[in-house]
Amino acid sequence: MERGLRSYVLRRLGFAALMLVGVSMILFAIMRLAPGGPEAVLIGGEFSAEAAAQIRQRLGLDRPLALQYVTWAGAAVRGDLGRSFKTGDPVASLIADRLGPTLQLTGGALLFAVVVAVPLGVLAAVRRGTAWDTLGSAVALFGVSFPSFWLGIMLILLFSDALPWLPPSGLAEYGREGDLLSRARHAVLPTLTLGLIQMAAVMRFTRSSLLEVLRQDYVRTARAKGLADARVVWRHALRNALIPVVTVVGLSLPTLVGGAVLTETVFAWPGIGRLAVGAVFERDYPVIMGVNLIVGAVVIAANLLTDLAYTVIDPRISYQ
Amino acid sequence: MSDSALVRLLAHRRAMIGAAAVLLMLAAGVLAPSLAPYSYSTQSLTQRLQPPGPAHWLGTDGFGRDVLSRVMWGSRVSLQIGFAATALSLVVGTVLGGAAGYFGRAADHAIMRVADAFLSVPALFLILVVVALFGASLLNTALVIALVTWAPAARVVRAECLALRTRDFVHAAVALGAGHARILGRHLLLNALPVIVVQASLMLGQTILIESGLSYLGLGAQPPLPSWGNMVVEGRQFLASAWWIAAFPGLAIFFTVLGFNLFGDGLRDAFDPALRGAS
Repeated sequence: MERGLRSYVLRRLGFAALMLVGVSMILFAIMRLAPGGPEAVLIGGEFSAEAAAQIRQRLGLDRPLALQYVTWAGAAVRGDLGRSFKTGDPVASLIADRLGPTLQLTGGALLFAVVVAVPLGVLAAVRRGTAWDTLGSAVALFGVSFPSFWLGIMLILLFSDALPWLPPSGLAEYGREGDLLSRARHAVLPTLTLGLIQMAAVMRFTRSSLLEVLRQDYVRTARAKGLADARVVWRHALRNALIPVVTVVGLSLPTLVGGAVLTETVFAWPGIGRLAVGAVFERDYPVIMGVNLIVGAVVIAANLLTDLAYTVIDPRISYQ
Repeated sequence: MSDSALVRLLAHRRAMIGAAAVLLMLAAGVLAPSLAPYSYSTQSLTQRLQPPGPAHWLGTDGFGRDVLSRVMWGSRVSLQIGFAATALSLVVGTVLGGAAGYFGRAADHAIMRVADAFLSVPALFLILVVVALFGASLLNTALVIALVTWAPAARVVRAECLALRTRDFVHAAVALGAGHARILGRHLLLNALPVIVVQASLMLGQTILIESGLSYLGLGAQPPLPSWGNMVVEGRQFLASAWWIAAFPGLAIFFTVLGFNLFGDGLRDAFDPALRGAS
């Protein structure tokens, strides 16, 4: 690895770590602003001042705020996110159980979005002003205007109720979680719901980025030397046009993960989104905090990977 | 808005379609008390689950309530929260983004790193934290939506102010001895207004989508007050037998958000013809 690149990677890593600290501080601050504080939730109903003081002492809430934060963050770094107020289970293992389905859902949706959106964006750009372009714009515009939960329900109405093709909810039939076919059939509608919404941004950016690149001199040169149209577009132009698309995909990750909360609720998908929603109704603070911290970490890590991906895709970028 | 921009906007067909959709939904909400055919809460067990027909244009729900009336009343909640959250978020985003762009250096770094941290927590998750702590109410809903949408607004305003800061008329104002407040307010933000207005229109669509999602999760407007989101939830259980209960409120959300998006795109084209079709 050359030196400029190495220091860039190191700087980027340090920045990601700082971001994570920032996110954890925001979470911690919001949590401590809670009216009544965690002791009110733990006891529930009426309680005496002594009981509250006791709980506060047990939870360490009587210590200085900075110390509380350091204690909490230190434990989190070692993988200890506390225990659920409700069930007493370690939060880390609750999250670990639910992370897989969420990663499957979001990963599948992202894959679907990119696989459909990039060719559609290319068609819209190359056939600018034709029906393809109009179709592309319509898809992009509708995609950002649909409420995802409603789209999901309409898909259930269509493909599960009216046409009994696909199961409307769950990860797999009960007790058949290892059955890949069952898993795949259950994944179709939720993945489609989340993916369709995500597709819009990717398709818009592929189109505008490719239009920009197609105006460049090296594309004219490629055409002038008599290369076939398809080769010019797919080989010369698209590779360069995809760089901003990678950025958009990276930037849209928080939206994707946030969208999973609704999609998981609609399809009774056992992911961390539903874990968080359930915890909100129970006021189960450690679970809510833990989920947010992990989700923030995943998103920050994904953004880091996006940035590092440039070093592979685009050799022109300088890292001084 | 200059006259020529207004003319371009009025001639922009898609923007006008968007404006019409938004105005229609706005009128439905404002006029709901006098125009809605039924009350939003009157139940009638003999009229349960009626399909769309002459008596009930959009059918009735599981309690025999008129879906059309409820969609009209629901637009009040969605639009009120949408406007309130957008206004709040724009004020915060404009002030912080403007300050970051104008003062630069340490202020810029501090503000934008906080914005980055907000942008990397998925909005819905952060909203869940706040609603868990402070409870669900209309005011809280508007506040949390603003909390998760100010950062993109701040970015846009900052970028515009950064660009404006180097212009001659700003140097002239500095040379004339104008104070920070005057330069920022009168010369930067006033000139950034077109960008802010476009942002507002697009954000309105966003905030309405977030509000409907929160209501769907049961964390927004509480029944019996109808909001488009909680109507969709109620319709979910009757999906197989009475599709209209979930379908129409969802369509209302879609049309409203689509309207704001079309109008916002049109506004951008009108203000800046050079950007037409660029994004």
